[in-house]
Amino acid sequence: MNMDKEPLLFIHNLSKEFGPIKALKNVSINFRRGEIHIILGENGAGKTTLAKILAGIYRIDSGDIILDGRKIRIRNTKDSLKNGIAIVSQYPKLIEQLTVAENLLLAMDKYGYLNTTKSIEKDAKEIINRYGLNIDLNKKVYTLSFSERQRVEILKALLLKPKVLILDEPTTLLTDKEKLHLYKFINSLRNEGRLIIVITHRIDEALNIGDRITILRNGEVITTIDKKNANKEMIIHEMFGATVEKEKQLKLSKRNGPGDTVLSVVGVDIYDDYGNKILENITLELREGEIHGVFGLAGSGLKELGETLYGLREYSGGKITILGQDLRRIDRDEMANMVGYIPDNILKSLILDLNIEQNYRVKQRLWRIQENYMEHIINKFRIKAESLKQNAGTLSGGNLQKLAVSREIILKPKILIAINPTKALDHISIETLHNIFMEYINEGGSILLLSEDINEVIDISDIVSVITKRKLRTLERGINKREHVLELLA
Amino acid sequence: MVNYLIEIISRIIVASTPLYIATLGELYTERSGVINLGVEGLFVLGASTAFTITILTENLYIAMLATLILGFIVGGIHGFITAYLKGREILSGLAVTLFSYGLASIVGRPYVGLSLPVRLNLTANYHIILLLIILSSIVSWIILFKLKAGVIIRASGEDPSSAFVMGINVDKVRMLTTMIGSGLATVAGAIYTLGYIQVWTEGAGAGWGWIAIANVIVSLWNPLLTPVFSLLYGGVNSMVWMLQLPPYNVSPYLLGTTPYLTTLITLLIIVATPIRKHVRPPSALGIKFEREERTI
Amino acid sequence: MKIIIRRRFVEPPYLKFTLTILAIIISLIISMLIIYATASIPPTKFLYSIYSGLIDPSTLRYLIPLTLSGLGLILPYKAGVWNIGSEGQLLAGAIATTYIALYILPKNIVGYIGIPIILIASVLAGGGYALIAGYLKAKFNLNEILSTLMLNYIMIGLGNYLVYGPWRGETQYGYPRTDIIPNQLWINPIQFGGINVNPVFIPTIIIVAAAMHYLFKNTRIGYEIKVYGLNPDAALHSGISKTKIILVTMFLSGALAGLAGAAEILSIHRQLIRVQDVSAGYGYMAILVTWLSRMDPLATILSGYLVSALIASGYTLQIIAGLTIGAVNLFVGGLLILTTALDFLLKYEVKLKW
Repeated sequence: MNMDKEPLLFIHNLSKEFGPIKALKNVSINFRRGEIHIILGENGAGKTTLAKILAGIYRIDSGDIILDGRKIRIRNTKDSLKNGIAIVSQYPKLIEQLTVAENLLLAMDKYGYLNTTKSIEKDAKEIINRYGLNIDLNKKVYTLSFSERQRVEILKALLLKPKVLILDEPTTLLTDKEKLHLYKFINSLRNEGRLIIVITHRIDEALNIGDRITILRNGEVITTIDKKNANKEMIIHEMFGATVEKEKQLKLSKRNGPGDTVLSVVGVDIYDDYGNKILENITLELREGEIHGVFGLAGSGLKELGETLYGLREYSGGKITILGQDLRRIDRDEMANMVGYIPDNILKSLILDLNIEQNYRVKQRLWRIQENYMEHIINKFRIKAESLKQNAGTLSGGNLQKLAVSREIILKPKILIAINPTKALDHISIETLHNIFMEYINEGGSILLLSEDINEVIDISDIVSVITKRKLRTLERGINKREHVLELLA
Repeated sequence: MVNYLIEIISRIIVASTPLYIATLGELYTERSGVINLGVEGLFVLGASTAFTITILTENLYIAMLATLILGFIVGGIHGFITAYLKGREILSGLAVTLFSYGLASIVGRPYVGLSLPVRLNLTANYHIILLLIILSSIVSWIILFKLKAGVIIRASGEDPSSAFVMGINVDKVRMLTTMIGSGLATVAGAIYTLGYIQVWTEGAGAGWGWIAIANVIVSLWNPLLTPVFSLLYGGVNSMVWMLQLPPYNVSPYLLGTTPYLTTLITLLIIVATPIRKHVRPPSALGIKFEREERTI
Repeated sequence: MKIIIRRRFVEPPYLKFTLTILAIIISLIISMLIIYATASIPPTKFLYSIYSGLIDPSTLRYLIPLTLSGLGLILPYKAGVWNIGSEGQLLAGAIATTYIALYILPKNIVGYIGIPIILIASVLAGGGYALIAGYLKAKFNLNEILSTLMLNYIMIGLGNYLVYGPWRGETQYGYPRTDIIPNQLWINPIQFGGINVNPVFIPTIIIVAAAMHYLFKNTRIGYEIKVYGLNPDAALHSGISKTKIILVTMFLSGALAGLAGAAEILSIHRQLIRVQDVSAGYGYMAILVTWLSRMDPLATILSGYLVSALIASGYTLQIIAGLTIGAVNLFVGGLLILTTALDFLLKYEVKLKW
């Protein structure tokens, strides 16, 4: 295996900026053939940016990429695939309305317009059998679970027979058993002489599977070390630098026990956009002063559940009661006053073409709000903006979400329904938002947190429910351990 | 009696053919995520251009080819504005329709009322035409749902940003399908004058493009269903005129509204009955696809 | 060379105005070339007709229907509701006007009672006709573009049926038109500074434009319409009612189109004639009027004037060069194409890098 350890991919002085944010600063890394190379760093360190550059999703501002001693240019995903670099992204980018086979065909450049899914079937089946991937090629992607989708992504990458395979946070949603299977699989790929780059923020994972580890912090390479020379303490030190002291500690301050029921759902069926039943016989309770976290995968009906509870969808079966009133009797106006609502996408909540002030005024009861009061809100919620007249489109993702949350809870509604409130945010913004949620709870609010982020649900909820196979199951109060949740999912 | 029936059937088929062709074109366009309201104007433009060129050249093939190319060009304007310039799709389509109306009026004006030197005899070959309609709808279904070309088109219409990540040039796909749809719309207009009405007056063919656009919805974006509804609309439109004669004596102006009433009612049936569960427009239909940063 | 295209976050001042002027100039040049190539009309003749259209007071004759309908369309278009049915709604107003004037009101009714009744009827007819499409959209999410278009054709058929059939006038020597409405119901132009000005509809336009300006600047409903248009989801989530927005904007735009129909009958034709002669596509041209003004109510008066001038020059061309009025669509469509295309520069910044 030693002869394999020659350099394969060399990136030199790579830089990438997003407006004022320097995501990568002069990053240089040497990757070898036949190794598992870990890129380790906390959220926001620049790991995913690096992966997306190699995959051709972002373009570099400056720097060189050298593959097999030859300088290459990666301007788009095609260039990257042509050079034998394939990526398995954190959130599988598959086209949900197409079948697995169609997605695979789409990704295969070597097949022309007149080919059918038959062309890839043989190769795909061979890979499925060799690695035991267990995928049905004829299923539509939207019917697949997360780990199935991830396996499709891996299959897609392998069909391209890549020299370099990048896995971006591959284990986020895998159970321990699935993880072990994945690790074994990565190992066998490495032993075939490929370069495997694994992007992760989990130190244990890095030490467990990596041959070499490169640590990124704030867009810069701190060091690259061999696994045999590495230990946990040293890695923590390099990853967090001076900030190691204040390792993320949520201000999970003491709260009063759960109070009266503010929202209850009994035996309700929920439907998707096409009128198909997506969740059956849902029963759910939210009590005053608590966070009820509901975990579900993308496409599991999480979004539809939230939208139904906010009165945006038809439902059938049982009864939904909000603050003692039947949901069917509450009109839109009233609802907007009684319940704060964070939709699954910030674009459904804020209007980026309007400024901050105008965005507050969208809410009926904030129509005549005073300017100095708005400024007070902005300070209270730590929204970074130059002025109230600043266009919302120019705010960062974290500030946008804080703006949305502040608008929804400033009038102190009893209930906040939040769907994936921290998706795609950096860790600092996530922490700030979680603190804002805690303050709101302490002020007497209650939150129904519907999230695809299992860590978020486990970290901040008082009680946890899981959506699986069109059903919702609530764990016993107090029990919200990760393994329980994942067991329910399996 | 048999002859009479055959005559009726052949008339319905001939009347439906232009609508079918325009609908099929728009179906490809919409499957890639673009709504082209220009289809209406392009149909009218095709009708007038084909007529004029046939009179000038006395050659049906040259007329059809020239009409097709004109459709590519004028429809390409809409494709370019929506795919590359990210302009407002509805406005751009309406604009192309108005522009084409104007162009059609200028192009056809000197030859109004003349009769065609050569004719496209569709009525005699109605069985071949019917066969071609059915074959082309099956072929279109295969292209869209079996071949990679169709997977690419549908991917652009369902989830352009994922398609882009998979290396598909969404802008180009949308431009091309818009041009294909536009070319078919002008050819449909050409067949309308050369093969169906066989004369040209100002505004000939107006309204058919709108029905074609509605027909795409009613056919649930499925090429296998387009012949059915094209024959329905074509049938209504060609048969209803019989009510003008005694003993019915219905006003031709009222009869003229029947295709539009039929369209409105079928659309309503589609959206207001349980059929609506099957109405699944491409998820990104009418939605612009914009990358964060772009370099040409 | 590289062309770099970036999204703008702040729009430079006057850019909208500059681009509008640019669109007008380019589209005139293109129309001129097309007309020269296809109909051999020399550019001088073309330019002269445009010039005469711009200074011709008869332009005001088209300004009324175009600006009224165009003002109306601002409401649904701001809300992202595509009412393409002004043509049918205008005709509904015209037909209602004729019906009330000829068949309902006593022949000797005085003008100041009869005219307001007629105007209210035309508003209700136009607005009501638009509400059909509005209701179908709000209730069943039926595509309003297609429904309003279909309703246009249905109203056209109905109008022609009436003038060729039951309403054909006894005093009209068999021509397809109704009898003339009583002359105390006519609204005649008055002389004002040397030009003929309509004493009812010109002030109405000014009042409606001002009211609409106020609506969007200062009222909650105006703000809700704008917000709904920018982002229907966000509006819905903030408690803004979709049904209310759709019905209100559709009704008001239809009402103003209906009023335009009344204006055509009371001030110009004084009887119902073949519908293609009542409205030569004003309902469609109004779409251009609205977009050219970038949905600014006050600017709509200006763009209404400009499009009226284009129609007037189209008629001049018709006389001097034998074109039909259909050719006006060439300018109208061309101008609309360029307006949408140049919008790109509002949203994106284009830079050249060597």
